[in-house]
This record gives sequence, C-alpha cells and structure tokens, in this order.
Amino acid sequence: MWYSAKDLAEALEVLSSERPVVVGGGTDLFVHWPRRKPAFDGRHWLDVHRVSELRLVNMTAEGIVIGAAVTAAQLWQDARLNAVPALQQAARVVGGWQIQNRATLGGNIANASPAADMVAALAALDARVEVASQRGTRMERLTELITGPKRTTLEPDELITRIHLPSWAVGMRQVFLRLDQRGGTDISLVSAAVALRVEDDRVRQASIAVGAAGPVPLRLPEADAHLVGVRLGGPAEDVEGVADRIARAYAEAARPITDVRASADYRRAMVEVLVRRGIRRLLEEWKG
Amino acid sequence: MNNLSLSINGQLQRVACDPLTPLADVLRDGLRLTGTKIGCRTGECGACTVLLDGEPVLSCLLPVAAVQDAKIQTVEGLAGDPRFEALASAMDACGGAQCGYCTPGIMVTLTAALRQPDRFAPGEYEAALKNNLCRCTGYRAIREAIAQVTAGLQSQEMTAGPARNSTATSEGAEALGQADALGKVAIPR
Amino acid sequence: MSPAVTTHNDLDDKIRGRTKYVADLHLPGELVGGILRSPHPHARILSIDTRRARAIPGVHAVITAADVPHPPFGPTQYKDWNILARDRVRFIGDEVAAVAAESAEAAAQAIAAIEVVYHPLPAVFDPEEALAAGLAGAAGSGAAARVATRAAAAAGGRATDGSGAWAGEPVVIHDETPDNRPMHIHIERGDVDAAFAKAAIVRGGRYTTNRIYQGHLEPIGVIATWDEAEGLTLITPSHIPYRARETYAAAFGLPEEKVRIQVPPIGGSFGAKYVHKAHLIAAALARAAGRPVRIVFDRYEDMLTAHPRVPLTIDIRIAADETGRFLGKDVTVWGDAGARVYWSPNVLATACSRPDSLYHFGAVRAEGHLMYTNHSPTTCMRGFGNAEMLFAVESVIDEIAEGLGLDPAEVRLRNIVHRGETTVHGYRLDSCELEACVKRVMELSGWSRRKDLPKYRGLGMALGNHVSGYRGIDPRFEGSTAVARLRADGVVEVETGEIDLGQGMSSTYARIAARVLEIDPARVLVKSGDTGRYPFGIGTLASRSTVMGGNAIRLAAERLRDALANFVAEALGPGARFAGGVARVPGPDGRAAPGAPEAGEGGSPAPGVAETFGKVYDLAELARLYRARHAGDALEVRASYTPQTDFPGKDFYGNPSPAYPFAAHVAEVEVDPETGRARVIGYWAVHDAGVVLNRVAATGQVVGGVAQGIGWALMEDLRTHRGAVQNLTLLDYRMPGVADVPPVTVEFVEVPDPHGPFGAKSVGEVAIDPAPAAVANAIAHALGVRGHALPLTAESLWRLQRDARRDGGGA
Ligand SMILES: Cc1cc2nc3c(=O)[nH]c(=O)nc-3n(C[C@H](O)[C@H](O)[C@H](O)COP(=O)(O)OP(=O)(O)OC[C@H]3O[C@@H](n4cnc5c(N)ncnc54)[C@H](O)[C@@H]3O)c2cc1C
Ligand code: FES
Ligand code: FES
Repeated sequence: MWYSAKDLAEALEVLSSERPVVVGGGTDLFVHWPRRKPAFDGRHWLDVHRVSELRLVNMTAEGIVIGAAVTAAQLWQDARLNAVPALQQAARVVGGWQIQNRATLGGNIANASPAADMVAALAALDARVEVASQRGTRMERLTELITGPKRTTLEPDELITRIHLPSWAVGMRQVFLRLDQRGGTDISLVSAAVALRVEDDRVRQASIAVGAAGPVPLRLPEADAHLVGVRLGGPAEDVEGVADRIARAYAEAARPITDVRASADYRRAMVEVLVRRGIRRLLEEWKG
Repeated sequence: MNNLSLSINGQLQRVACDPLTPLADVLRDGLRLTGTKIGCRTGECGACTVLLDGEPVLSCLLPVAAVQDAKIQTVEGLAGDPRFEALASAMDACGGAQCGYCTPGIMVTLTAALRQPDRFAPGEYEAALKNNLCRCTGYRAIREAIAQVTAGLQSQEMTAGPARNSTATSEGAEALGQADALGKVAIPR
Repeated sequence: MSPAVTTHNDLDDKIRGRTKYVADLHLPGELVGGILRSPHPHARILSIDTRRARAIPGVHAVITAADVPHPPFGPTQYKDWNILARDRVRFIGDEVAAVAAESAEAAAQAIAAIEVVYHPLPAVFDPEEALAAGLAGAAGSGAAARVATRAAAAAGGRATDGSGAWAGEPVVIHDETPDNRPMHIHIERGDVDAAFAKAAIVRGGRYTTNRIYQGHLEPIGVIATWDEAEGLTLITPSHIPYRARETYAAAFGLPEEKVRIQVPPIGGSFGAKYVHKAHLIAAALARAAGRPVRIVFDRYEDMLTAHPRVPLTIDIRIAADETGRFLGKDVTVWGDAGARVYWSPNVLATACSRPDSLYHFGAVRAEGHLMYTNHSPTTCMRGFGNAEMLFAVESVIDEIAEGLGLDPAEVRLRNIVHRGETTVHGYRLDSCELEACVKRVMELSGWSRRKDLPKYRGLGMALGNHVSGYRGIDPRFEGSTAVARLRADGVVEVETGEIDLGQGMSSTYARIAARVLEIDPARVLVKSGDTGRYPFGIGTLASRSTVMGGNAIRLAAERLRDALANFVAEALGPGARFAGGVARVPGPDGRAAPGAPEAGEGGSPAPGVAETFGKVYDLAELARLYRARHAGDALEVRASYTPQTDFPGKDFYGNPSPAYPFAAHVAEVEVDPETGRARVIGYWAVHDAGVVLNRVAATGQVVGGVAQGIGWALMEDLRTHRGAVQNLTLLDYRMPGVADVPPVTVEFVEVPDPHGPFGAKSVGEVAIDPAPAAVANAIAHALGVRGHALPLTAESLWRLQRDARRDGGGA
C-alpha cells in the first residue's frame, strides 16, 4: 500500500501502524527497481515529500532548521542558505540536476552511504537531527545517528523531520571538496568539508569532516583545534604546517575501503590532499 | 493494482497499475509515450527525463504513485513550446542528434533549463546536462545548439519581445504557464 | 510544376522523441524472452531440470541445448558458436537455457526455477596464461613449459586481472583448439634484426589496452517471429544484417532467404549490435512458442554479458637512426578473444598491421596471438585494433623523440606516408594529405607553446589512418549495390544494403544522389535496413559506408539520370533534354523554354511532341509520363560498385581498400599533481577525409570519436575479476559527460580522392584512432612519466608519480 502523507501527524500514524518504507525523493530506493522489487515484497510505503512540516527552511536565533524533505536543488537555490556554503556546494554536486530535483536531505542521511555528500557537509557543521515518532521526538547528533554503512539508529516507526544547524555555523568560511572521476554523475571517492570562524584575522573555531573514507563521516575535533589561533597573513609556513599536520591526522584516522572505484591507500592519501586543500583554500584564498 | 489518475501533457489520464511501477514504464507501455527512453534505470543516463511541475526528473526512479498530484510533461508534450521549438531547430541544424537515443531526454532537460535562466550562469547551460549522457555526439553540437538558442532568444528579446509560436498547443503552454513565464523572463548573457 | 514533396526529416523525429527503436515496437501476441546464464566462468553442465519452470503460469516455452540444432557455425571462419550451451559453459553469462512467457515477471520466475547442476572446471583469464594452459594439456611438451614460465613471469607485471586465478593446470576451452589459440599471425617484411642492430635508439615496452564497453545508450534488443512459410524474421538493430542473416541461417539450417532481418533505427552500436546470441535465442524461443518473442536487455544484463573491445597486451620496440628516421618495428600482440570468436580475429590482424601504413617503419615484424579465455567474448568497436596499437606506437614515438631531443611532431613528419606511395603492406595511397594535417594541427593547437607550458600541463600529438571499406571482410566479394527509383510523387527513392548508425549515412547518400541528379537533397529518400526488401550489402563496419555505399548510390543515380534522359528523348522528342532535375522541351525555335518553369500537362498520357514545345517537366510529371507508358511501373535502376582492391591473403599483402583517410590530433591536458586526476582542456583534430560531403555529420563523427577516445584513455574499463564484470552500472563504468569533453576544434584538409564518391573518404573510425594516444602523450608530457596501461585514471596517475618519485629518490 502506498501512503502519501500531507502532514506530520498523518505520517507518524502510518509509520506507527504500518511500519512502511519511507520515501523521500526515491533516488536511492528505486535505483534499478525491477531487479530490486522482490526484496520489498509485501512492504508498505510512505511518501513524505509533501509533508508540509518537512519542507520548510527556517532561520532562527539558534541557527538554521531544514526540513528533511527539502531537496538538494532547493538547498542550492535558497538564497538564505548562502550562509552555509559547504552544504550548498555539496547539494549542487549530488548526481545531476534531475537527481537534485528529487534527492532529499533526509534521504541522504537515512540512506547512510559513506559517500553521501550532504552528510559530510552537515557533519562539519555539527548538525543535529530531529527524529519523530508517535512515541515522541528526539534530537541526535548526525554523527551518532549514522552508525555505519547503511546503518542508523532510526527505529522502524521513526522519521527524520528536521536538521538543525547551530548558529555558529552560519556565516563561517566554509568549503566542500570532493574527489570524483568524471564530469557526469559520479560518487565521491573522498570528500571533505571544512568550516572556519575567523575574527580579527585569527581562526577562532575550526570544524572539519571527511566523507567516504570510513564507515561514518570522520571528525577529529582535537586535530581541528590546532587551527584555533592561527593568524591569517602570518608566515605561510605556519599555515602550511598546521594544514599539513591536520591533514595527516585525518589521513591516519581514516578507515577507507578498497572497491571497484579506488583502493584504500589512494583514498587515504586523498583524505590528506582534500583536508589540506580545504584548509588552505579558506585561509589563503577565501573571498567572503 | 491501483487506479491512479495522472496529469500528463495537460491531459488527465487514468491508469491501473502497481503504484510502484516506474513512471517511465507507465508512460511507455501504458500510454505509448515512447519518446521517454530507458537507457539504464539507475539514474545516470537521463534518457528518461520528464518534467514534474516544470522541473526535470528521472522517470525511471519515480514510482508512479509519487506523481499523482503533479503535472507531468514528456518530450511529446513539449512540442509547440517556443523554447523547445527553438532548440529543436537548432539541434537539427547543428547535428545535435546522431543515434538519437539520448536526444529526447536532453531536449526535455534543456527546455527546462532555458525556461529557468536564473538557475544556470550565463554560458553554463550545459551544467544542466550533468545527468544526461550522450555516447555519439561528444556534446559539441549540443553546445552549439544551446548557444544558437540563447543568442536567438536574446536578440528576440531585445527587438521584438518574447517569441510566441503560433503552433503552441494549449496543453503544452498551459500546463506550466510558461507562455506567461516567458514574457517575464530575461535570458542573461 | 507539381507541388514539391519533400522527404521526412529523421533527425527531427529523433529530436521530438518520435523515432521508434526496437524497445518501442510491439507485435501482437508477443511474449517476453529471458535467458538463464552461467554463473561459472568454466563448468561442465551435469544436468538441467526445467520441469518447475514449465509449470509456471504464463510460460509458453522453456528451451535448452536439447531443443536447438547444433551445427558448427559462427560469424567468422571460426565456427565455435552455439545457440545454447551443450555440456559445457565457458564464461560467466554463457547462455544455458531460455524461456518465453506472457510477462517479464513470469519469465524471471521461470528462469529462477530452472535447476542446473554444474561441475566447475579450472578457468583461465589471461591470454598468455591461456596458451600455457592449453599447452599444459599436451603433456611433457617443452614448448608448454617455456610458455608457462614466460606467462608466469609476465603475469607478475601486468595490470589485468587473471593473476593468481589460473593455478597451472591444463585448460582447453574448445576441444578443436587445444592450444586455446584460434589465430596466430606472423607478418614480417624486411630484415628486422638487422634494422635493430644498426639503430641509434630503440624504445619500447609493454602496453595494455582496456576492456572498453561500446556504451550504446540503447540496450541490446530483438523481436523474433517464426513462421513455417516465411521463416525467421528478426527485428533488431544490426548494422551488418546480411552477415548476421548468413550466420543465423547456418545456425538453424535454413536457406538465407528464409531469414529476414528488419533493422529499426539503431540507438548506438559502435560494434556491439551486429550479431548477437540474443538474436538466436529469441528466434529459437519464437519457434518453440509459436509466437513472437521479444528480448530487450536491461543495462545490467547488457553489461554483464557485454562483448567489449578486444583487450590487447602489446610488446613493442621501435628502432630509429640518430635523425629520428625509423628503421624497424617489432611487436607481439596478445588478444583476449574471450570464450567465443565474434570479430576479434580481424581486430588482431588490424592491430598487427595497420599503423605500418601510417608511418614508414622500415623493417616490420608482428606476431599476434588470439587467445580463447574464460571471459565473455570480445569483439569490435570503432577503431578496431588500430587505435589500440596506435596507443603503443605513438607512445613509443614520443619516447624516441625525447631520447633524441627532437620535437615529437618533427619525428612524425620525418616518417609519415605520402600520396602516391605504396606502403610496406601494399596499401596504395592515391590520396593522402597527412603532412598537411600535421602542419595544420600544429598551427591550430599552438604546438610551439609545448615547451613553455606550465608544470602539469601537457600537449600530446598522435596520428591515425584507416580504411574506407576493407577487402578482407568477405573473401567472396566487396562493394555495394543500390537501387534508384523515381517515385510517382517525384521523390527519388534510393535503396541501399548499408545501414545508418546515426552517423549521417542517409543524408550523405541523399546528397550524393541529389548532386548527380541536380535536385534538392530533401527530394531524395534513402531506404535501408531490411534484408527482405533492399539490396544486399556487406554492412556498416570498416568505415565502409561513405565510399562503398556512396559509390553505389552515385552509380545508381547516374543510371537513373541516363535512363531519364533516354526516356525524355523517347517520350518528349529528340530535342528534349534532362538536366537540372527537369526535362525541357525546346520551343519551336529550337531553344529550351526560358525562365521560370511553367506547369506542364504531365498527367495526360503520351502527349504529342508538338503540344509540348517550350514545356518544362519536373520529376513528378516525368514519373507520371513514365508510368503511363509502362503499365504503371515506376522507373527503377540498379547498380553495383566493386572496388579494385586486393584480398589480403595469408601474407597480409595487398591493397585492401580504395581510399585511406588520415588524421592528426593534438590534446592538451592538465593533471592535478596531488590527486592524479587528468582533464583534457583542449583538443584539435585535422582530418583528411577527401572531399567532405556532409560537414555537420563529418564533424559530428570526429567529435564523437574524440569524446569516446577521451573516455577510453581516462576513465572507461569493464573491470573483471575471475571472469565477472565488477562495475555493472553506468555509474561505475564511466563514460564522459559533457564536462569531460573540452571544445574540440575540427578541420578538414580537402583534396579529392580519385576513388571516393565525389572525392570523399571515410571518417567514422579514423576519428577515434589517434585519440587515446594523443591524450596519453599529453599526460606523459604533463607529468614527465608515462602510463603504459589504459585507462589513465586518477589513481593510476597518482601511483605512477609516486613510483617515479620513489625510484628517483632511490637512485
Ligand atoms: C545517479 C545518481 C547519482 C547520485 N549521486 C550522489 C552524489 O553525488 N552524492 C550523494 O550524496 N548521493 C548521490 N546519490 C544518492 C542519492 O541521490 C542521495 O543519497 C539522496 O539524497 C537520497 O535522497 P532521496 O530523498 O532520494 O532518498 P530515498 O531514495 O527516498 O530514500 C533513501 C533512504 O532514506 C530513507 N528515508 C528517506 N527520507 C527519510 C526520512 N525523512 N526519515 C527517515 N528515513 C528516510 C528511505 O526509507 C531510504 O531508506 C546519487 C544517486 C543516483 C541515482
Ligand atoms: S533510464 Fe532513467 S536515468 Fe537512465
Ligand atoms: S545521439 Fe546517440 S547517445 Fe546521444
């Protein structure tokens, strides 16, 4: 049975009674449908892309709240979200235009692919995920909600409703970088999101996340902290030294796999390259 | 089996099928709108592109149940749209189709892009084609066709105002109100 | 005059989504066919139980080897095909059984319900190991031991899969070919060893080319019907339908006339679709079920069972004197045919010989081994072995230039072929503007910038040649036949046996006929693609269509023109002339009617000469006149073109094609030194295609070929592991998207070829020939290190640089 919910209450009710498969844009679920179909035999479906509560973007004093059914295309087109360029850049690289018109932020998270691009950007921005069911609502850090490839803490009656970005993330210098292999649609071999708060020519806060280089997005707050206090316009070696050190820390901590797309050693080396590039780009080239 | 009603090319269509059936199959097998092609069913080739409320999407990844209240336009339904027509003649002149299998999907995507010039930076309409593969042309002739159309639209807007094509079908124009939009939209250079 | 009837615009149909490809066609009562495939790369079939499958509702036929004939047959002289596997499967995807059912679901269920018991056999995936594995069967043979050791040594340094998969036991894939080598070529001209002995410089190495998937956007498909009276009809996009017909007739023991192939528009092939087991299986199912059967692959099945380009392992050496003049070339080529022969022998032969008619190498030697392996069979793709070998040759030429401190373009110019020459293999170059192409591409690309480019930017050059039809395709004949007919509405209909692949063949033919008849090309309709209706044609391969089919069209159009002239004189009086696409009857003063043509009364039968003075008759009126005098029949003529070419015999010597096209390409790349990712940022292609009859189509062919070459060089590879394709989606088999192809500048140096129609030569395949090499040379120039194994992915270039640094550091 296919349910198309118009509001949250309706969606949660169906979730509670039918334990359906949640459908956002379907760009993960329906890939190669005729061959996948047998695996879903007898399941119910809940289409959430019209649930009004899930489609809003709000700028609040606490930060930014983005509905789970907001699509990648909406993310990069919404001028308010220019305040979080890393997320917009990630949204604009997901698939191509057609995919972006359907792919939702909630789907990118719930699908829990290690290569998910928007997830990597959200992880650097310390996103929290609001999860609802008829039993209640909970907030979880994105990096805790995703527990492994294709694995999350979501219960069968739960729905991702909103994604919360903290106020400090707004207006930070940010960049999202990804390594892929062609100009057509492709999947990240490695991605990195870097966000820095710079005040009075000094880095006051730094937050980095690496995607596709392990089962979950990689965060190393201790490593990021090396950036705090770094002076812009200071000796180039200082900036380079810090960037190198942090990049190496991420490369060492990464747990990449070898698959048909790339080998683990290449991915690990690329973690270092992308993190270093991200940091240097923000320190040396950023134009606000 | 469910009975679904769909708005396709400005017409209400009733179909009886499994709600999970990809829209592409409903269009092709149920309604014989075979201009929508299937190249991969995995979202990479773009041959199955249709417009959903004016936005290009991949009909191979869309369960038909998900599009019940939306307006769907296929390549067949775009005939008469001034931008589609301008692109069609440019593609013809430039040799933008060889085997032609990718072509309807590219036409649908580019028509949508030309209607939304604010989305794509000037000269970067080809960014709209990231989700469309063509194995034959090497894309050059398609790029030339885009350039021809955007140049043509610009000069039309500067001189005679927006182009209106007398052969525009009512469904084609009405479904998206694009005749209206066209009046307002200025193509950036 | 009659209102001008113009022909239909096929391109406009494609643009509007009106074109019907095979997947868009349906026959009443058709069933859906499905194929059960081997999951093993090599296994004995112990038993097949189809009882459960037959019991599934909606299933009309379940067939196995027991239900089909087993004559020796195949599309080449190597008759190693079957319709369904008997006793043994030889690759993952080998066809074991098939079903026809009312729906795709029922067919899938029935396939899943067939029970097959296999006994897995040892398998071999590397061509060199395959020779050793075959010889290992011939116990105690000294040759076996030698080859086995060499293969083992070679396997260590190779990028291709297979390392470790073969444990050294005997493997014979076809019992008739105990050494697993269906073809072994040796070509030698001149004293190669002496040439190398006196060389100032020798460069070479081992180059490997990848498993390129043709990447046709339209998946493989067929609809078959079987009727006792009519025989077998296949609706399928084959571009070599007569050859396919012959193969299928042999498979079923039918006369060729009882097999008809109707060719719908082809959604891309590049070599993949001309003959296919799915066609045979659909036919067998249609016979068994007594209903039409359609099989349309999804992308997964298309890729799982793909018959890609023949991967080649090339050991090459080229010797030159101190001025850069070549003295000798020595190559050994191993080709992976997979488990059956499709078109791989000709690919190997081309690789072993074609570049020798591009450059003067001096003494040349080539040894080619075509090897059976337990991979899915490989076949032809645009470029056909030549592009592969040119990757190796052009790489080595750049190394020689570097070794001698010479400009690579200069080294090429010193060694290229010219008009009037006969090459070492006997190719007669009656036209050749290669030198002009090289010089022009240097200008266009700004070749002189090469030495001043910033770090990690590179310019690479490569040249290419091809044929325009190849005499070796069929020992019996070469050429083409066309029919030209004046239709009642005045449209000239021409029929050809050649096939349009989207390359613009039909519009080129329309132009040729129109030029002869002096009419508007929009009033010529080109028809092709039905072996039951149109003249015999060898098909669209070996870049045949422009010169072979085009000459036949020209001859037929000339015959029609002459027939019209005769008829005009006969019907309208001796003074009447046929010229400029109309007949003019002289006025009473003996002069033709001046000025604008006026309406004649062509409808009235056999008007008297006196009444027609001063009149002008257009083609529609002439058609009516003709029919009035010929019981309603249309004026129709037929002509065959047979080129003066030589069949390349055992020694591969002779002039196999009437005309040879040439090209010089330059690629510019930028490599990200940290990630290894290379991007092609500029591309220039200058072609000698003779006179260009259809500029839009010819340019489109070049750009399309270049784009495929870029994908080939940088990103495409069907990765296999123990015979199983690993990247079964278009996401992981990466074909170039719009952002991967830079603006490509194309120019033609136009000098007429004496044998081509109006001086034209081919362009379709020569377009891709130099492209992978040009890109590879540009990358080597950018990085200072050279990749020997395609594709040059980001990771492989990253490794290459890292290894170079390591080696450099250690030295
Ligand atoms: C050709 C192609 C290219 C792609 N390229 C990229 C890329 O470059 N980068 C990238 O990151 N991804 C890419 N993707 C993957 C995909 O598009 C994204 O992951 C997308 O964000 C998924 O969103 P969706 O709404 O379509 O998900 P769906 O397919 O609708 O759902 C995915 C999963 O999430 C669950 N789900 C969806 N919404 C919710 C919710 N609100 N609460 C709980 N569970 C939910 C579903 O049940 C399902 O398990 C690509 C996909 C394709 C086909
Ligand atoms: S068929 Fe839908 S993207 Fe290829
Ligand atoms: S024209 Fe053939 S795939 Fe684009």
